[in-house]
Amino acid sequence: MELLNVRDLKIFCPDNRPLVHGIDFSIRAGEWFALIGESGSGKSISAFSLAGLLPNGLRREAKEIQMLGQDLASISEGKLRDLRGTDIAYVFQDYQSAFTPYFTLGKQMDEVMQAHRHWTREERQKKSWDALNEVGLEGAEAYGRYPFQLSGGQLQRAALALAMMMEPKLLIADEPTTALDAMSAAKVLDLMARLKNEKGCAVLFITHDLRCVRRYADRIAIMQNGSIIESGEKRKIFENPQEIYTRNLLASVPPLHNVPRRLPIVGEDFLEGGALCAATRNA
Amino acid sequence: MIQKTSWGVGLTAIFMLIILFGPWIAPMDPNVVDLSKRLQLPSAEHWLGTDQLGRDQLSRILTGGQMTVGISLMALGLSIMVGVPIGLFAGYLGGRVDWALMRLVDAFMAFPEYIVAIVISGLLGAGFFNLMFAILIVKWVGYARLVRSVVLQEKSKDYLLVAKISGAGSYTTLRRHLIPHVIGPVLALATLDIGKVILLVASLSYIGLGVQPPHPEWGSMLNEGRAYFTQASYLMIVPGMAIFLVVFVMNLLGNRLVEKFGSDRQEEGRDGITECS
Amino acid sequence: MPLQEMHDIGEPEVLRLTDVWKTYYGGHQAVKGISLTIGQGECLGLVGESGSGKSTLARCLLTLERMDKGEIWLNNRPLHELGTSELRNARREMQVVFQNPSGSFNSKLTIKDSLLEPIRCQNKGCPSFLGDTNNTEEEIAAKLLEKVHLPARYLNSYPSELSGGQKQRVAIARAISVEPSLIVLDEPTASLDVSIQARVLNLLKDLQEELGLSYLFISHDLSAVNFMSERLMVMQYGQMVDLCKRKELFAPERHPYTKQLLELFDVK
Repeated sequence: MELLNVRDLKIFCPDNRPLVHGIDFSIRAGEWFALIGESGSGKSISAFSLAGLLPNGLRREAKEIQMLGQDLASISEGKLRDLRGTDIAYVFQDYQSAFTPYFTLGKQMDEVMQAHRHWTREERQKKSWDALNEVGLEGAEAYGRYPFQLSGGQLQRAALALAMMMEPKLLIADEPTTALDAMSAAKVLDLMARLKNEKGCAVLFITHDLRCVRRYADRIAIMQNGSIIESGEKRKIFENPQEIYTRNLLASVPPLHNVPRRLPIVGEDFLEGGALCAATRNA
Repeated sequence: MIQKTSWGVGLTAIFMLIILFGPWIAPMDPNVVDLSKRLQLPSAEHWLGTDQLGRDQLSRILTGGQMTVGISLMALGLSIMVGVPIGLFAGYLGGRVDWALMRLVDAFMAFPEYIVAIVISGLLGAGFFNLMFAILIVKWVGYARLVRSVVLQEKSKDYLLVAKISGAGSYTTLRRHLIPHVIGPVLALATLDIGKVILLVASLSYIGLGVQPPHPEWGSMLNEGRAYFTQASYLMIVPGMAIFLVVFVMNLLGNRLVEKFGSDRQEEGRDGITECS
Repeated sequence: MPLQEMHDIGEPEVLRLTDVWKTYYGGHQAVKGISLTIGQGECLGLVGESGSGKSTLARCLLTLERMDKGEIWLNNRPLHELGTSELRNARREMQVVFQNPSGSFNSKLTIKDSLLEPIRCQNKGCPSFLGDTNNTEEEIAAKLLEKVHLPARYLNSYPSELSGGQKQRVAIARAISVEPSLIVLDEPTASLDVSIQARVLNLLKDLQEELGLSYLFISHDLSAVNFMSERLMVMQYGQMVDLCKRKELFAPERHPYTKQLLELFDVK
């Protein structure tokens, strides 16, 4: 069953330069969809634009962003706000930004629930504890902690708890493990896979790191310079990549066995950089 | 945006030329007393009228400008020459030197500028050098703090470590790496400060400290014109306007420079995968 | 407890660290008794996560920080015993490439000036690997850029005009320009995009082979370290928990932490 269907999504800079050139993709309910690309590819802003979270000045155009019978491209801001945090949840690379440093985790989780549901205090507290327990944190203890008292990995898991609390249908994760070390990253990814399976929520996973993709993704799409150049079932693409760029991405990860003398990258050596404009630079 | 800056710079340049070469542009000797011509309104002969001693107002303004602005520039220059090195050493050396110098800065900053300037001037007496000294005392701290903060910001960067490993000594590091970062902000601050210093000089002269008669100077001209305000208000209005115009123009230029050199620091974006795209 | 050094056949030693300790103000023990050697033309890999002490070790090695205890022998000179000015001279035989390409360059200097800084500081002429010695500064800089596959027109650019990967290459060109005995690479590819990372790794390997350079390659990325290094060292909580040759990476006697890392990085 299709959960999200995006058709002809375009994003423009304030000076009308196109950053994303009309991409199409769809995500099925309960699947892990990975959007892979390097900086300048447009992957992050594409994901942000789905729930209307573009930074100032960037403009979105789309024929259709169908989700659960609603066209996100044309509904009102009010309805969109209702969806954010409930049906659509976000987890970002910068785990610090998921929480404000001045309040305890518990209070912030409480706030989110109050904004979207009418539960009693006891119900909210129980839900928070449960959510924190599910991500491997001590519910009762973490509830009263401040963000600075948790490590990076713990904070990211707490962010995940916050995101999953409202039982979203779609979790959009923008490079959630890039800033974490390998151990913490693995824990967070395992956690996401488990939550996805248990709750049946779909994951739109944005990354540049093929390792995460290899293990967890069902279907993938590869973006370069604002367009999707290749997409499909993960197995198929990994085994038989069509585009040179895809092949290069795959070849970029040094294997642990049979270490080659050189990594088999093909193509231009020093042409780099993508389509960025001032608005995205400091976002 | 660029047009505005060159307008501002052009205008300021013209202004400054007029002011600094004032005495030579002046049509008459500003000190010639002619009591028969007292308090004349502006006329063809005396474009800005004459003051209570029959001296040509226009010549006095032009000559006084050189005094007012000249003293201000010199005093500011002195403050920069004292403040910048102190800021450099405090920031670069860190540790106890930094601590000691910053306590010194704190001490100087504890009192409002005007009060200190008046007190110092009052203690030392009126006069050219005492005035400059008073302004130096008050103004050097701003530059010390600015330079120190610029140095501290750069100190955290790796390129200084690379320089250290490559064998660069302290002097080379300061000269080649840190001073280029300091120039812009100091220039911006100085341009904004000029207006303040001019006001300070004029104020001190207004209350009788600083430049003494008969030397024409805008502040003291303001003071002298006070007694005749009801009869010949232009005696106060003209020097007042002159001060206002110069300070205004310098402030405009200063704001533009601050914008330019302030944004310098945000230029370096983040690289690679941490960029939002 | 420091593990015994496995030193390869007969190469002269470029670097020897013995029992290095570093504790920070406040009691945090960042480096606890690390010893290692690096032979001429060798790349020693150092794997560790954040908090393992690997960066602190690098800084101690480069004498940018004072160790509490330990010895550093660079080309058989005891860096730990030298006074400030002697140290300044001895240190020149090392160079470094840091993680953050933006911070590695003074934003107010052109690429050319940054690139030539080590050569100018040390009053050295053209590096021997560039051929004839009668080159002007401009020519030397252009040839250095060529070595890292960058066009000479970047010489007059400012760092903000180059991408991360390009800056990192200039950093590498800068490091090799004075023909150091050892180059310390502290997470040189961590801030770069994946395909750029791969290109930089290839470049580093090519240069190592061509110029006979010795590297200390530090990273949290086990696959990158394994690619670059014939010998690997694993650090955890300030201690060295494992040291092995690349071909012994999957041997059963590996430390549990190493095995954990292997599992994470080994993708099937």
